[in-house]
Amino acid sequence: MNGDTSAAPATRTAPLALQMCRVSKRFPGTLAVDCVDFEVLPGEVHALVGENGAGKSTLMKMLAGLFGDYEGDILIQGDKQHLHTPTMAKQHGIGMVYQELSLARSISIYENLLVGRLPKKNALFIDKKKALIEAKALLEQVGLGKIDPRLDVAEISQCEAQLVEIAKVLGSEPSVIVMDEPTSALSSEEVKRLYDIIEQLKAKGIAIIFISHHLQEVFAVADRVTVMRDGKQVGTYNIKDIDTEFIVEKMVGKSIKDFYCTRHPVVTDDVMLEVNDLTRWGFFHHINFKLYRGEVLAICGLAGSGRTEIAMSIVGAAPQNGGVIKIKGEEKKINSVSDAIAEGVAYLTEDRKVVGLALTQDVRTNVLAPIIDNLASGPFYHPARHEAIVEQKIEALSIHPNDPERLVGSLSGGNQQKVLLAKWLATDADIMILDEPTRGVDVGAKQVIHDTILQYAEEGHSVILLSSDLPEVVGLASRVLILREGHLIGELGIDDISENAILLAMNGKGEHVAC
Amino acid sequence: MQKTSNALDALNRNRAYLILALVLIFALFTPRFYTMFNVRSILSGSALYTFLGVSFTLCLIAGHMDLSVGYMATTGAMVVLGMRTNSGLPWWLAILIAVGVGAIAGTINGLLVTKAKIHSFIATLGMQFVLRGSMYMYCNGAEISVRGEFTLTDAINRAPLKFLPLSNLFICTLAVVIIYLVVLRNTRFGRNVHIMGGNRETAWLAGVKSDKLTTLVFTLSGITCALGGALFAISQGTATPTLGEKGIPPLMVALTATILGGTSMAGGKGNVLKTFASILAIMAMLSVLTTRYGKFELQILFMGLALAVAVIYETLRNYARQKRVGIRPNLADEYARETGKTLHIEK
Amino acid sequence: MLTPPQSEAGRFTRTGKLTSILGTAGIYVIIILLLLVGLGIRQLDYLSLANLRSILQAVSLLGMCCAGLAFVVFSGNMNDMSLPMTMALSGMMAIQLIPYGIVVSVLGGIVAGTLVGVINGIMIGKFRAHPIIWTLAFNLVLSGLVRAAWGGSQIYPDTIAGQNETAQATAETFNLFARTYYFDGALPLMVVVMFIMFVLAQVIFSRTTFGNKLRIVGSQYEVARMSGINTERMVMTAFVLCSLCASVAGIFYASLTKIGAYSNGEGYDFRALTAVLLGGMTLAGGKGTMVGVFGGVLVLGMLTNIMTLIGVPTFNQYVVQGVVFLFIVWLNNYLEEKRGHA
Repeated sequence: MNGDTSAAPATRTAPLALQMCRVSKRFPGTLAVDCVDFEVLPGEVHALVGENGAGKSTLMKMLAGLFGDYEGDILIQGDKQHLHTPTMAKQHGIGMVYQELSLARSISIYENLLVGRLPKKNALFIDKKKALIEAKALLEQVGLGKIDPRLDVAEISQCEAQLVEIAKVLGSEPSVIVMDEPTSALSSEEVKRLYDIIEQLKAKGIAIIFISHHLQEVFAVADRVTVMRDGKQVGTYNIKDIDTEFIVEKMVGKSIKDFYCTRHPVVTDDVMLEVNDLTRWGFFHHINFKLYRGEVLAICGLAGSGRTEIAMSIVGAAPQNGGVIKIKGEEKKINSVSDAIAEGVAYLTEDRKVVGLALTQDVRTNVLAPIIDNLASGPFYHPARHEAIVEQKIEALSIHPNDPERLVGSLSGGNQQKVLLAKWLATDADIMILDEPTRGVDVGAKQVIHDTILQYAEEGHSVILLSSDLPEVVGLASRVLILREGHLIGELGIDDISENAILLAMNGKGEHVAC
Repeated sequence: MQKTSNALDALNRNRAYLILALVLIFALFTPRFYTMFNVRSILSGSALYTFLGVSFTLCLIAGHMDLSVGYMATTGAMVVLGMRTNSGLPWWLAILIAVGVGAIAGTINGLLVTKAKIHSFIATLGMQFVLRGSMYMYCNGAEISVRGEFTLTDAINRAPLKFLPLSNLFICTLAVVIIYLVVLRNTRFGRNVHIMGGNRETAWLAGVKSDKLTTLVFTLSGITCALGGALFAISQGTATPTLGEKGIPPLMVALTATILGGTSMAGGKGNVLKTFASILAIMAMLSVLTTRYGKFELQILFMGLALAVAVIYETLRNYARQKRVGIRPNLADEYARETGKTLHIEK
Repeated sequence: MLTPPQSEAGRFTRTGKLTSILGTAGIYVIIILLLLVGLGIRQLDYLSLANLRSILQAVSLLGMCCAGLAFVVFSGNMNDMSLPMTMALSGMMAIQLIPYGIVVSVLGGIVAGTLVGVINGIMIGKFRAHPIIWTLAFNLVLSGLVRAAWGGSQIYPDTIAGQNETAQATAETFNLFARTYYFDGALPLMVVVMFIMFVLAQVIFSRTTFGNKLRIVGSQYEVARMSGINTERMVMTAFVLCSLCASVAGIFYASLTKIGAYSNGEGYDFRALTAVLLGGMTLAGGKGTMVGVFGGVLVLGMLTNIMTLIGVPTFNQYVVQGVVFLFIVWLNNYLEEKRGHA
C-alpha cells in the first residue's frame, strides 16, 4: 500500500518542518487515519488530496490539536510535540486556515487578527495603537494593505474575509500553515492573489499544506503531493513527475469497485422532469436537463458547485430567479416543499442530523412527516392508524430494531439514513432527488440503500443522485451531469462513466460531451 | 447607491445619538424643559436605569439575557437600607454587603447558565422570582427608610458644581458608564466578551475560557445592578420591594435602551455609551410627555412602541438579509451582465 | 446564544415512551405524594370535596393559560411573555362591551385577546423575530395601549353598565361566569371550561394534522420545513391558540374579581411556564403531552395550597416557586444529558 513513497525530499540537510510518524486516529467503528507517515519540508507547498472521507481532514485536525488522543508521533522542526488543544498547536507553530470561516463577524478585523494575543499596555489595558500597527502589517502581507483594520468583518467581502483568515494565521508566526480548501470562497482573480501570497510565504521558509479538490490548483502551487485513500497514505510524489490522470488514478484505486452492483434499470424515452434555464442568481445560472423514466441521473461537482442549491430550488425550498420546470411534460409552479410532494417530487436532504430527521422523535413520526396531509381525514389525523405504512417500510429497508416507536436519535447512522429514505419513499413520489444518500453509513446499510434505489428506478420511477461518493455514482448512475461553479459543463453517457472520467471532467479535463 | 446605503448604515449604527439629539431638539418646544431643576432631575432619574441598562448590554454582548436586573437592583436597594437602618451598620459596610449579595446572586445566575446549562432567559427568570420573594421576606413586605440622618442622602443628591445640573449620583453613574466603556473596549476581558458573544468557535480556538467568562459577566451584572439599586435607595432615602415592578418596569427600560442603542440580539456587538444615550433620550422623552400631557400611561405606551419599533426594524432587516442573493463570486459578473445590477455576496 | 434552543442530537432515550421522568407518569406520582402530604397536614379534611374543589378552582385560570401556552412551548418558542397583557386586554374589552350584550362582550374580549396572538404569530412565525424579546416588547406595547385607552384606571362591570337595566342584567351575567357551579356547588364552571380546554388541546395535540406537524416543527424546525410542512403557519397557529386560551382565562379573571385592570394577568407568564415545564415539556420543544401539562398545573396548584395550609406567607411562596422552577429545568437538562451519554 505504502510502496509508492518514491519522491524523496529534495534535500535532507534542513530539519523537516513537520513530520507525522505512523499517526492513526480511531473513531468508534472506523479507523479514520491509518498509520500515516507525512513529512513537510520548510518552504515547501505540500498538497494533500483524496476523495471525500479519505482522511485528509482528520489528519489535519490532529495537527490542529482538535483531537486529544491520537496514536503516533508528531515532530515539529525535529522536536516531538503533543498537540492536545488548539492553543498548543498554535504555540508550536501550526497555523490552520479553516474552510468554514472562523472569524467573528461582529468584531473588528484587527481583533480577529490578534484574537487571544492582543498586545497589552499594562496589566489591564490593551495597547490599541500597537494592535493596529500589527494588524496593518499582517494585512499588508496578504495584500489587504488598503483595508482599515478597524472595520468589522461583517463589512468586508467574503473573499477579503478569507484573506483575513490567512493573515490571522500569519500573526501567530507559524512554521507550518494548513490551508483547507482556501479557494472555495474566491473568484479566479482572487485565487491568483492567493497564489502570490503562497509564493511569498514559501520565500520566507514557511511550509504550507494545501488541501484542495481542485486538482489544477494543486498543479499550480504545489511542490509535492500526498494522496490519501480510505485513511491510508497512497504515496507522496514530486509534482513535476506526475499529471492529473496519475493523481486521479491513485485517488480512486481499484479495490472498492466490487461492492457495487452494476445492473442498470431500463431507461425509457418518457421525460419525467425537464428543467429549462433554471437560475438562482449567484448560486447557479441557466441549468438545463431532462430526466427520463427509469433513469438514475447523477449530478457531480466539486464541493460548493451548487448541487444542493439546484435541488432546493427544484423542490421549492429555496427561491429561483427564472426558468421553467416541467413534470411529465406539464409546466409546474413549485413554491414550497409541499407543492413538490404533491407533484410527486421528493428531496432526500443532505444532512440527516440537521435537516433530515427529527432525532428526538420516533421512527413513525419521522416516516409519516411529509404525508400527514395525505393521510388525514379533514383536520384529523391519528398516526397510530397508519402503522402499516411504517411497518412495511421498516421491513422493506430492514431497519433495525424494527420498532416504530424507537427514537430515531438512538439508531445507528446507517439505520437513521434508512429511516430518511423510508420517509421519502412513503410519499410515493415519481421523482426522487437523493442528496448524499449514503454519507457516513456502514457497508451493510449502503448495500440496502443502493438496492432500494435501483429497485425504485426499475419500478418506473426516476432518480437524481447528488453524491460525492464516486464509486457510488459509477455503480448506480446511467448518466452523469458535470456541474462546475454553478454551470452544467458536461455530460457522461452510460458507457463513459468511470471514476477517472468523472474526476477529470469535474476538473475541467478529459473527454465528455459538452452541454 | 452604495454610498447612500453606507450613509444609512452609519446613521443606523449611531441611531442612539440621533434619537437623543431629536428628543433634545423636540424638547426645545416644551416649556420648562431646559431648567436647571428639570435637567437635574432627568439626569438623576436616569441613574438607576443606566446601571441596569449597562448590565443588560454587557450580558447581551456576551450572548445572554439577564432578566433579573430589575430585582437585582431591588435587592441592592433593600439590603443597603436594611443593613443601615435595621442592623445599624456603617454606610460603607452596608453598601459593601449589598453589592456582595448582588455578586452572589449574579454568580448563581452565571453558574446556572454555564454549569447547569440552563438557557439564560430561563435561569434569570427563575432568579427574578427568588429575589423578589426573598426581598419581601427580608422586609416583611414593608418599605425600609433611612431613619433620622440624611447626610449621605443629601450628599448623593447634591450637585458639587453649582452651575452644572450634575448631582453626585449622576456623576457616579457617569463613572460607571465610562468604566464599562473602557473595560469593554480596551481590556482583554472586554474584547474576549465580544468575541465569545460573536462566535463561540472563534473564542474556543483562541483559548478563551467561555464558562469562566460567562460566569464573570453575570457576576459583574449582579454587582452593577445591586450598586445601582443601593445608590438609588440612598438617594431616595427609602426602598420598597416593588422597585423592580412599579411604574415602567426597570427591566423594560434597560431592554429598550439596549436594543435602541444597537446592541445585537444575537450577541457580539454593542456599546454601553449608546445604551446610555438611549436611556437619556428615553428619560428626556418621558419628561417631555409628562409636562405636555401629564399622563403616565402615555409614557408606557411610548416606551413600548419605541422597543417594538426597534425589534421590528431589526427583525425585518434580518429577514430581508436572508432573502438577498448570491454566494458564488465567480457568478457575480454574469449576474451584472444579465441584469445590470450588482450582486450582494452573503455568507 | 440567543436563538431558541434547537433540540440537540445525541439526547434521546431508547424509546419514546420514557421521554422524561417528569413526564406523564411521573407528574401523577408527585400528585399522589402531594396528596399524602396534604393528608398528613389536614387529615381527611384534605380530601374533602370542598378542599379538592378549591384546589381545582384555584388552578383553573392557570390551567386555561397552560392549555394554550403548551402549544407555544411545544413549538420550540420557549414562552409567550405577552400572556399577562393578553389576559388583561381580553378582560377589559369584555367589561367595556357589556352594554352591547353578553355575546358581544365575550366575543369582543376573545377577539381582542386573540388578535395579540395573530400579531405575535406574524412576527415570530413569519419574520422569525426572537420570541422572548418580541413578546416582552409587545407586552409593554399592550400595557401602554391598555393604560392609555382606559386612562390608567380600573373598570367595573356594574359601573360600565350604568343605569341601563338590560346592561345591568348583562353585568350580572358576566359576574356570574366565575360563580356558576354545577352538581350542588361541587363543580365550578371555570373548572369545566378548563377541563374542556385540556380535552380539546389533547385532541388537537395528538389527533390532528396541526398537532402532529407542530411536533416536528418543535423538535427540528428545518426538518419540518424540508418535509413540506408550512412551518410559518404552524408557529402562527400555536401563538393564536395560546392567546385564545389566555383571553378566555382573562375573561374569567375579570368576572371573578369583577375588575378590569391592566394588572389582571400579572405573574401568569412565569407561573404558566413553570406548570408547563413541570408537566414534562422541554424548552427545546417537540416533547411532552397535554396530560402531563395538566398534571403540572395540578402540582403547582397543590403546592400553593399546601404552602398556604401550613402557613407559608405569599412572599415566601415566590421563593419556593422560583427555586422549584429552576430545579425542574435543571433536572430536565440533567436527565437529558445523562441519557445522551448513556
